[in-house]
Amino acid sequence: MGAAEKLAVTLTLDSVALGTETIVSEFISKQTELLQIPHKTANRMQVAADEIYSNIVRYSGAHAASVSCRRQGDITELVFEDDGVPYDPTQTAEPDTTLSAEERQIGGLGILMVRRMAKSMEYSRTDGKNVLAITFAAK
Amino acid sequence: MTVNKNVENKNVVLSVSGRLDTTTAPQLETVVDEVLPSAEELVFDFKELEYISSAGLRVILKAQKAMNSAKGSMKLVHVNEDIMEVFDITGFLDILTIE
Repeated sequence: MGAAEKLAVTLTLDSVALGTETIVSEFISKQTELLQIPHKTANRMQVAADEIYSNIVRYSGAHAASVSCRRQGDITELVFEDDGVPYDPTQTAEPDTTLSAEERQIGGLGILMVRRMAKSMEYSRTDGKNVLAITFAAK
Repeated sequence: MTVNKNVENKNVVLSVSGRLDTTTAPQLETVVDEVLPSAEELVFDFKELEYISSAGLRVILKAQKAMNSAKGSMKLVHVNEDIMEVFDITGFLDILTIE
């Protein structure tokens, strides 16, 4: 993998109100453009960043989080780190996607989308941090 | 994201452009909540929409449920390939009308 550009975010109770989600989204836009990542892959990376980062902000209780982005040839990678409660999104149960509109719930769909769009997804708990590495095919 | 609202009698067209994600979905939800009580036909025009995350799906699902129970109709038009992929993965293709 090439060198990664990293965005560090300090999280407070106001992280949502302060628009840190927009900052993450703009970071991904800028990096995918600089790395000349194809449009389809860039969109998938945006969706993944939105799902993963919004979960961190809302549910992890983390004080600090970071996202980094890099590309090596036909593979791109996003790495998320946070010091919140241990949470492994590679192990969550998949929601039932065959229910009618009335029975349908949104919970779990975000992670399902990331799983299906990614080439690989790897989780580790390292030095008291959740580390989630997600790769995508850049084609 | 921007939402353009076009109302003719009880037909409402919402043209959504840009990104529909955690940050912007609440804005769309506000507009949807405004038009739902009087709409008999609701159309989402996604011609200028770049991508959608689960926060956006939540708003679409809420609208579909409301239109179903009001016996109205709802459809999505000009949905791009990336967004179709999201609808496919999540099983939304089965509960939405896409033209």
